[in-house]
Amino acid sequence: MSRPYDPYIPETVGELIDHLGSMMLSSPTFVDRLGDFPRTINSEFFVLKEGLKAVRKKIGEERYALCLEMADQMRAHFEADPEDKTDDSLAGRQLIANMMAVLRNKPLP
Amino acid sequence: MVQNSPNIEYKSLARRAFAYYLRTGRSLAEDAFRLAPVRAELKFNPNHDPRDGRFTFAAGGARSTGAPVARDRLRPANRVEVRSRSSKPLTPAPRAFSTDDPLAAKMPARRFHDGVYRLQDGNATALKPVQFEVESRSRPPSNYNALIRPMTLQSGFPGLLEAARGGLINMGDEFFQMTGPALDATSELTRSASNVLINQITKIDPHYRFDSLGFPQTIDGMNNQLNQLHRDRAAAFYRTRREVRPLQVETLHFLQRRVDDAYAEGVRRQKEGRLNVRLSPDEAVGNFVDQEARRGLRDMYRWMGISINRGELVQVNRRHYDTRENDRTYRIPDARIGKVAFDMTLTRKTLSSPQIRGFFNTDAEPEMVIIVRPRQLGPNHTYAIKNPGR
Repeated sequence: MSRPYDPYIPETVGELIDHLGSMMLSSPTFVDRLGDFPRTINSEFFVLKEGLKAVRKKIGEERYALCLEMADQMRAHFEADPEDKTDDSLAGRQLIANMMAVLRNKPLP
Repeated sequence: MVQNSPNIEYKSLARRAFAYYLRTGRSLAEDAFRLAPVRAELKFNPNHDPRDGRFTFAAGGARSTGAPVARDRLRPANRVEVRSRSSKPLTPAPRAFSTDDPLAAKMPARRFHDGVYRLQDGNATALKPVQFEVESRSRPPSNYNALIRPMTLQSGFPGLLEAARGGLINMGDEFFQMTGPALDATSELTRSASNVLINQITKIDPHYRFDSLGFPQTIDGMNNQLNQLHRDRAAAFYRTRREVRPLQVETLHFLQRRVDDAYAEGVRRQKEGRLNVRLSPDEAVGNFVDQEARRGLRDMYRWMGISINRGELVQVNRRHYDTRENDRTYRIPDARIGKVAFDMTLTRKTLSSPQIRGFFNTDAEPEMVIIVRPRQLGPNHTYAIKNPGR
């Protein structure tokens, strides 16, 4: 793909959860296995944080701040285990599941 | 035929797949030969009329001799030899688009003159040249066509037009394979197909410019280029003419690939215990597959420059209301493009599913719902259900 990748930014909580579900299957490198999109860990977390901004009013400041913190921790875990060999990736994916629960306003799994 | 080649049983799967490709021009996964070691093969012969199997004298089968033929170069100008093709009635082969189809009109079509003598504008000697142009001899090889995807869903679901209301139509075995990324694509074929697609797009949208850093060097790169051009063509049709049918085809193609890949990855991770789930494994994998495919779809439409805002013809995972009753209800198909809704699922759904009936009852009144399931789930994984009320 030669044209610049301009990813879709989630506008609703549902779209953000779709993004997280997608991250669950592509972590820790977040490379698109099919080559349709030049996704990277940078682009994925950019989309995640922009999406959180878009739903900030909807979810409230408290949950927004919690999600931002989770996103940072998540990224650190995935960067620490790019080959998906250690528990860091598992911890990162657990944070994805936790963030989904927070966005749905449900108890953490 | 396989039966005539007893030694074929000793060939490796890869070799048998390659031999099959050489004989038929079709590329099958190696697993196909493991699962069905003995299977009748049908060799494609362009000089056979596909309708009745009879030999014809030029490539194109029915188009060559299905109509009366005159050879004006060998005869006096006013003498016409009419040759009847067959005494039995000919059933028109199903066409991807009718002749008045706007898509067909814009696509390069083989020009055909049946050579029948007709009085035209009072000129009794006017006789059109027989047959279509000699270009048929110089056409690219048959594999070339496999790289160009059809533009309507009818070609992917044989019998769709004739199916009864509420009928369930399986996706043709050939559709995804023949229109999917061709694993055997060569540089030459890819280049030819790319040029055809670029020409088609520029006819639809004269401002189109294909951005490329150079011709791809890998098979994956070539497939990606063809996928990109097919999507560009669909996007051009949609943006310039609000024509949704090519977009429906590209959406189905995209979803099937994403769903297959996400399902394989989800199952692998789940088996390795590297998927954090608290639901049942099937449910969790199914959810992730849906989410990944929907997210990919949004990215694809954005990349194509197609709006998915509320009220547009293209919608992804939005509420579709049924306002006919007093109590307003809604359903959420994974996607809808025009009158076709798409639903991704691991379970088989039919018209008896409340969800599917609900889709048809929405104000959007889709003509059909396409159920997209991973190919790993077996034959007839993906199918269309026609609206029972239309």
